[in-house]
Amino acid sequence: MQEAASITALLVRWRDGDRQAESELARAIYPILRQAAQSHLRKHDRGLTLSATDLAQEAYIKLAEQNNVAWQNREHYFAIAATVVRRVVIDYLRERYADKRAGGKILVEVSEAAEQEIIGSADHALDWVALDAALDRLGKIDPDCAKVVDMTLFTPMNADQIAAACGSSVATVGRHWRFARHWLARELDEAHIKHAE
Amino acid sequence: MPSDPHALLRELFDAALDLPEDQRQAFVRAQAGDNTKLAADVIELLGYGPESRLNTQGPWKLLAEAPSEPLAPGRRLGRYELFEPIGSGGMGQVYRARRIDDIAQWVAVKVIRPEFCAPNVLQRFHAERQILARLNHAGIAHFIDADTDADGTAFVVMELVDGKPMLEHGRLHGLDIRAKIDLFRQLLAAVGHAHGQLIIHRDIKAANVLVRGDGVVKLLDFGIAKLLDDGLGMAHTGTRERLFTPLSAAPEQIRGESCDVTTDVYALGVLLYELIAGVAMFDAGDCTPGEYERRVLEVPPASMRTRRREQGLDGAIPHDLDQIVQKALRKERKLRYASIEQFDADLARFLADEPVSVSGSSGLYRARKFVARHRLATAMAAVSLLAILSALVITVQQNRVIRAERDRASLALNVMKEAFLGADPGGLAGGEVSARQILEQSTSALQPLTRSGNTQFQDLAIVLLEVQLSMGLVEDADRTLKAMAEGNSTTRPRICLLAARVRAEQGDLDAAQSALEQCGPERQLGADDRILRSLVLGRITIRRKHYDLAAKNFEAVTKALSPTDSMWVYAHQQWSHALANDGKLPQALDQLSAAERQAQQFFADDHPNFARLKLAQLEAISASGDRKRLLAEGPDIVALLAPRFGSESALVGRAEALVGAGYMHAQRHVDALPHLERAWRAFQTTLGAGNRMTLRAEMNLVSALAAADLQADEVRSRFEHMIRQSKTRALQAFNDFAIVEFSKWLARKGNNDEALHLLVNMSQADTGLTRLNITTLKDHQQWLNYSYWANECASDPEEHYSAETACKRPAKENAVCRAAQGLLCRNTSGT
Repeated sequence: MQEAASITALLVRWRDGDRQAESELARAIYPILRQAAQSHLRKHDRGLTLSATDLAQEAYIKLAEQNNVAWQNREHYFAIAATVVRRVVIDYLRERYADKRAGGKILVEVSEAAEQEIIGSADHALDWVALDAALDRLGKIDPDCAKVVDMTLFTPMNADQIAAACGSSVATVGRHWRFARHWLARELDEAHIKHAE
Repeated sequence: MPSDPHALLRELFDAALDLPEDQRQAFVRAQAGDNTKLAADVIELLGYGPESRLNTQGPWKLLAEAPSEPLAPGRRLGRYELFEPIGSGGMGQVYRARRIDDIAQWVAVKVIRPEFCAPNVLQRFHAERQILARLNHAGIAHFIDADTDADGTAFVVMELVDGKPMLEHGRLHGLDIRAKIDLFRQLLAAVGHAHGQLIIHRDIKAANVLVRGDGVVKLLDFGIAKLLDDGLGMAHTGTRERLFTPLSAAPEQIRGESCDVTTDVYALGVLLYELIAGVAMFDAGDCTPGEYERRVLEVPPASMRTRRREQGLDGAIPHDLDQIVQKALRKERKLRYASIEQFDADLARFLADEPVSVSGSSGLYRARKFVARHRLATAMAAVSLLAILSALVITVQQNRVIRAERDRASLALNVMKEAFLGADPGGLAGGEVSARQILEQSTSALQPLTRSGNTQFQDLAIVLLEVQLSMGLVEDADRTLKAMAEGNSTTRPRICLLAARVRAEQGDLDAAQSALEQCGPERQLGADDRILRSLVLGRITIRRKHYDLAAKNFEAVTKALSPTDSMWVYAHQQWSHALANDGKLPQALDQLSAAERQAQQFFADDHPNFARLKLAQLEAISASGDRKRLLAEGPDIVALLAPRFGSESALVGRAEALVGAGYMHAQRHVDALPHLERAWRAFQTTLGAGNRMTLRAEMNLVSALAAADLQADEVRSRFEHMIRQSKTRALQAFNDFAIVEFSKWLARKGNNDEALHLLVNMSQADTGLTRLNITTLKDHQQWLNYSYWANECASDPEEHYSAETACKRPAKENAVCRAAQGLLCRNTSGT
């Protein structure tokens, strides 16, 4: 209950424009997503699958049901959860596998179209660790843009919803995504080449 | 303007991307002004996007070709005075220049662009200075000096070569093949010399090879040469700056791997190819850097002969020469010439008409080509039928190969090798090899392996299954499925779903439905499998003629797919088909136009998907029964498709068949003929003579000929041909139908005896007539009765001439009549 109370309190602060509250919120929901990930890892015909978007959904339901947290709406929640989902997924992969490239034996499912737009083709698996690092770098120089990437990849939201969640326009979201595709492609390309050597 | 560097970058990038592609670079440069780093950054980023095009984008090429501010003539660099610019290399502009203290000596001065003056580039530049000093060969533009001037501008001074690029020289002088090879061997000697000094060039390309007026070949610009020994301690393996020229880069360079002498062999192969063929081995104009790189990595170039034909050029190219070039261009380094000497020796043997080392190709290499084709099919698996067809047929015809460089499946290789050797597409000259035949061969080769339960095989088999289904080879798919079932106790959802699809395509809808239910609940399926599930459901409902429901199913499939997905067009086509059948042609056409608009955001104008959507439009019109519209718009659509795909493609065949059928329905048999003929020819070429589609097309053609009462000889021989071709278990139903139709035609023509024989013989099989479907059986009975009386097997004073009468009245003493009577009687008593 204390957890729920603190999340609710953080939400209020966040809504009032307290930026600090955002990272605290992320920290608060991390364990819940973690838990969801544990139970969510499924045996699949292609191996173990971790669906990032399902994870985000499930944690939302859990948070809403168990903790009675007053999210404004789904978008509101996803805006914060997106980056946390990424953290959970990457941590999960890191802990499980020595070979962290391409997620080891766990197949991470994200919004497929978005994934393909970044890596260009389905030929090689996305290097999650490199992507994570690249997104962290992007977050430092262009936080809004990184946020859009997280939301596009790790939540089931479409551009309209992302725009609503960010309080910006669909056009702006589109521009962020467009830039991110180029920028990440370059970053990942370099990571990829380093690998091939 | 914002001061934060990233904000600057973002602003410029966003603004540039809003511009048409060809204006972006200039815009970026203009906006960035002095901030050349910003410009380079933005341009590099622009090059990474999905919408980039090789000819205008691609970071390295941009850098290589960026028109840097030319230094003013008269400017001095060290002891040299610069004159006009004479070219630009990977690292900067080249100027004609001369020494201040020796105005008789003209030289070439390469000014290194400041962007490249990063620490390690300077280092490399110094390495170049030492490397070049060691080269002393008449075929290599010799090195004179290298230095930096007082401003820190770095430059290299080299022998000034007054000549023309080798390709241009060859064209201008109209050199024949021998003369071109002589010229090229001069270049080989120069490169061989450098290799002897343990120096590789790494950037041999057309622009770097000049021919002087006196015919001497000069190789320029050892710009990124690398020492093979590390005697100088200069080990820059895996050069990251990617200064090579993408159009002649070897696969290992694209992968960022280290280079060796075979990298030069490859680049020389690229040059020799264009020199001999007169056209570059790949078209670079219309593809993105990524696509181009993929080609370099995976697609072996077409033979020079084929390439010339494609371009509408004639002039024979000797097979051996083609083989030599192909060997230089192998994707795997160890399959290339291991040295310049070996390369040269083969050319010398070729000139002397002696057998070259590569004449004839080994079975394994051919087998690899097959795997490669298979990989191509994999990539396109389950696309609409036509993509696969053209892929397979084109690969067979043009000997194109997608390399299986990273194909770990040696198992697959062996399977395909067997399949390939069995099908012998190499014997193209000898006979017709259809995609179907190859697939048939692979199926039988795959079968024993199914029992091993190897999962790698399963993947392959799934691909095979999907290809077969998309090609409409339902019976083959069924066999593949059976073979798989024998070997595997664990069944994956995908296989289960595909099995359901096979049932649906076979028309066994109840079985399909129950098979689908056994594949597990929808929510347990992966995303891809969920889509496949909806698709199968759609196919079942469409075949049940529940068009409303089918439309909803396919709408869902469509929504779940992106235009880049291989099933996307198929889903749209099925959706519009369902709508059209449901009396909603306007919606169907609206939906297809929306799809076309969506596709425009993803594909270039000439992408085959546009043609497929056009075909879907025609199919929808045809399905709606709006014949007038079909005949009004059909021929235009055919005219649009034919030049793009060739009139003998399955896609055009389908369109022709629809138009032909439209004329037939309108009773305009003579008008239908040319369309039906072309449809049949297209299917015959692409699918093979024994394919169901081909046979149906031939049947339509025969029906039109018969209805127009034309060319009785041709009608007869076509019927006989179809009946021969369909003598397989899988085509039994068609075979029966064809025999009944042939008998009907014969009877109408008055050949009652022959008709009666054919109809009676149909009951000779083990199954008797029970195998016939209702329609065929009814026809059979009717025409058996007709032929019976027409042959005067009995007499009927009351002139009823019914089967009942035939049964009661005594038949003539004639075996066929007796047998016919037996058949007529059994059926009358049976019913």
